[in-house]
Amino acid sequence: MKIWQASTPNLTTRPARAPSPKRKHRQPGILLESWGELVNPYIARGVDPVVNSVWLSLIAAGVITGLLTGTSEAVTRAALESAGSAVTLCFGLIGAMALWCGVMKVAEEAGIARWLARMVAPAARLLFPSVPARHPAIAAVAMSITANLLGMGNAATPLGIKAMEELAALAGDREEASDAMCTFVAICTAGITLVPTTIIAIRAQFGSGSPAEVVAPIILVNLLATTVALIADRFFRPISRTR
Amino acid sequence: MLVKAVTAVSGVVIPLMILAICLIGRLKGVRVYETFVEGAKEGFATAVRLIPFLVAMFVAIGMFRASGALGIVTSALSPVAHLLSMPEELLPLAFIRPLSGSGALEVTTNLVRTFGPDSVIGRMASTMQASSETTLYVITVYFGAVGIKRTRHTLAAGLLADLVAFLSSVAIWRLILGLAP
Repeated sequence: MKIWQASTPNLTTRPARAPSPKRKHRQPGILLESWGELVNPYIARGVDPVVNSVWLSLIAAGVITGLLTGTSEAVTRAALESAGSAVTLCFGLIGAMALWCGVMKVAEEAGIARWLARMVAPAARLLFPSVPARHPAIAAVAMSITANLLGMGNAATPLGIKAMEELAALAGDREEASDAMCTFVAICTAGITLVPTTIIAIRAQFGSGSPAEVVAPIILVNLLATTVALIADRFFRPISRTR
Repeated sequence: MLVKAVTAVSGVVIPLMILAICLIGRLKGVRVYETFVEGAKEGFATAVRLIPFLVAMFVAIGMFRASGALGIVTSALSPVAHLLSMPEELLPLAFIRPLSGSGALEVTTNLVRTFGPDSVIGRMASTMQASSETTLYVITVYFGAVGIKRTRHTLAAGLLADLVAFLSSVAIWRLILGLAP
């Protein structure tokens, strides 16, 4: 929250004339290893090289293919429609976010969050060594992971965001993801599931002989993917750190 | 049956959890209503703050999908799919899965409808769909909500997990069905 406020330009204290347009030259970081040095020029400007290149490639591929295959009109329409649907999605999220943040606040005040954090402490120590044991962030992380496991889609996102806020509070004001945030997001992007409700429903709808036969393979595959995500996180952790 | 039981449990767990938290709060002397409203206020602000991040990501993905670039990419990569003994019908799903949740669901539904839920492709597609997550969305939303600009290695780790999920979804069904490796 504070990070966002800080990045908003303060209009009242701004000088009347804009500073000279010449770009300031920043000192490159000192503690960068090989991969870090490669992306250092971007990082020094506060730019995330991976997300930026994915984002730009998607737009470039869309526009160029549109020009070459004559689908530019559809691309234009999609750009505007997607912008609209992003806002619709966020508006839909407001209710769920408010509900779960309200419930979590009650849980925190009642000491339930601390109790939950104590329950999962052994696993938390292993996965998030940088977070102090019994910190409320652990409770939020545990609840979010549980919601994901049970396939509670509309609760999982708000609880995940809540967990990120707790981890951000722990890390202090900064623009770079902390180690704990990276691990948590790695677990979430691997898509931990126990009950794949949606896919079972789709298979039943199209007349499957046994809609739930995919559950065991899904859990196995997912376990493997999550393990790989955690190993990758551990491997990249010291390399991608810039401070 | 286990699945039915777990589905039933996840249906009642949310209302029970909300009730339990509020009751325990009341017993511990928390002013539950005021506390809830205070928390809800924070949640509201967070959801609104997400809008610009999601607009940026959705626009890029929307333009990419509408242009038909996905078809070109997948047809260029079909030799790679052959090399990995992956049915090339699954390639579009593999590409759209990390980008767009609704898009991937659409592709999976189409594959299940076209080839049948109990076909090899139907089973592989179901497994791919459910064992991975919309990586780009999770990263945009989670980091956007707390104003993190440098996401470090999370996209790489997430995409790697997706790749592992896709390849092992194919492998596990080849193994179960006893298809030649």
